Amino acid sequence: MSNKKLHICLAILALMLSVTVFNACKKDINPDAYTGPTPYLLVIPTGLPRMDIPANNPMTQEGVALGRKLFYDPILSGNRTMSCASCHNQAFSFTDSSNQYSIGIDGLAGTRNAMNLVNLGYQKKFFWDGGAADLESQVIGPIQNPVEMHENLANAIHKLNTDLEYPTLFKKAFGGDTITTSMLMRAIAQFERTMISGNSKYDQYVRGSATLTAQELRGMELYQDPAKGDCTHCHAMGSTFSDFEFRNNGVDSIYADAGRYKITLIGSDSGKFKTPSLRNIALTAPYMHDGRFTTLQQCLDHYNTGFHYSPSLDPVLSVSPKGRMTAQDMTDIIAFLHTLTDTSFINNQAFKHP
Amino acid sequence: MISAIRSRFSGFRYAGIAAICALLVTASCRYKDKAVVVTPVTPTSSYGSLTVKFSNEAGGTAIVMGSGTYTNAAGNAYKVDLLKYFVSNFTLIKSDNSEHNFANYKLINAADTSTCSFTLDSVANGTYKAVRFYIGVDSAKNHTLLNEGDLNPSNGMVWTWSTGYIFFKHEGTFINDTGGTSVLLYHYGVDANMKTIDIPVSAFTIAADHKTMLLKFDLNKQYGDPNVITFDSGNAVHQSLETRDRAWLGQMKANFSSAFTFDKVQ
Repeated sequence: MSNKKLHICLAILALMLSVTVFNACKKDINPDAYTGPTPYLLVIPTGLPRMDIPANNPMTQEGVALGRKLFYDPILSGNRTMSCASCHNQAFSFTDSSNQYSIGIDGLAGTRNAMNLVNLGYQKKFFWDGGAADLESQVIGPIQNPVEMHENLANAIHKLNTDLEYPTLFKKAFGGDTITTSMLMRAIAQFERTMISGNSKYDQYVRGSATLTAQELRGMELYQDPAKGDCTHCHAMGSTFSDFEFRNNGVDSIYADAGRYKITLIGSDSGKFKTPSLRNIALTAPYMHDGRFTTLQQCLDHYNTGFHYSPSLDPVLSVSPKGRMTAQDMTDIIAFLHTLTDTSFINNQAFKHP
Repeated sequence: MISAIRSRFSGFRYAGIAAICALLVTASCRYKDKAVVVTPVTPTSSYGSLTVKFSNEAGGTAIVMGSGTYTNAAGNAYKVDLLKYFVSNFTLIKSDNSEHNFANYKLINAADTSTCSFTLDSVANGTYKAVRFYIGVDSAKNHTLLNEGDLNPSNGMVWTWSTGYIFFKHEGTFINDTGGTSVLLYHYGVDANMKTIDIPVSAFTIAADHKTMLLKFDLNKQYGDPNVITFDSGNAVHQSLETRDRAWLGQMKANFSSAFTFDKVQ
């Protein structure tokens, strides 16, 4: 080795030694340390509003992926047989196929129809009666409900903490060595906020990339016509297709289920339920909070002639003349409702069992 | 540059340079280590601390979970399998009426004495004459379950169908006159039923020291003073969220004031 090379080698050696010592002193830095999750870029289809993400649950790729895994994992139920997806099936816009009531792990039936999980990030309150005050808080309701997944929450968290995979996945998404309840709530809510539908034939029509048939266009007019369908009063036209308010739509005059009243204990809330979104409505039968109607025709008949009067009946409906729609009007509206079906949503790989 | 260095130093001196570099870095690293050591804060003369302890009794005797049998003012015998409640926003009131709210949320679980006390740090020196706290969780925290610590929803103090905390929970057994037993299940909550508890205490002074305040909760008073709550006639189960619970909620809310009492400061 030449003198020059020796000098260079020794210089490098000196540098390496220094660096080694320097690194050794950073003993508080663990090479496996949590470096933070990757932000998730939520893509909002043209025509839908901006989605407000709560400051206490920013979307991350790791959080969304974890929420998706949890959504499909029966580990969260009391006997490891049911997951969220058991009653919220993507093929039916995340409703429970044709079941009027869903059956929980103990073979017990609920009393309301499984809601569709579409565009949840735009909604403020959850469940038919709005009992869950935010999406994160909603997550742990069905897990604990005796007629649904019937699991003790502390036990669910224990199962996750002793699982082979979950501690690592939670750590990647949220940091920390122990899985907490709030992490579980955050993860599933993050995944649910990604479940956005905005590519139905109607959306494509609004964006100018599809055309509606004459009948569908007539149906769209009737949907908004105050003297005809007047659907838009509650199922606000466009975007979310609901105002997500609580209303009595006249399915009963004596309530088997007091609905919103059960949460607020305000008398005028008796018989009120959340206005559901009509996105993918052709896929989500049966209809109404108790799944009493199996077809859209029955729903239209209800709003045309079948609704019942009661003190808390929605004011708009209470002054709507019965029989204001012809059979053709209703057929046209149903044709329009079918344009709200988003097949790219029900086939979206990102929402499937991971 | 390198060539300049090369021309001045012979090979073996690099070892020296390395050693110096290492020493320098090590020294600087030592300095850093030293900098992060938290020096114990010398207690200031302006603050002390106070531990607040709750004892849970029925008719003046400590509740024995599961086996103890007690009799309420209505003459109903009962047992306690579970007794939990939230104490929040504990506030100390000085003799000059100034107040310090410690903004805490404490879940008291009568079955576990380690949960029945909490320590308030940074209690300003002075003489105190009263305390105030709430039974329940204020609306700022009661409208989401995304909370940690004692408000972790896994602590068994939330409803599944409606977002909010169960403020007070007693589960046990009601033994009727003929010896028959039924479930006793009292779940109390909802914003409007959060209860303010104001308790005058015998004046005590904090002077950069630590004191312990003992408070008592008596289940028999909770069910009897001033409103006599009977477990008969279908009153053994109340879960707050139905019309039939309203009268019971009102009785419970009023009784909290007498059920919590001051014992002593030591």
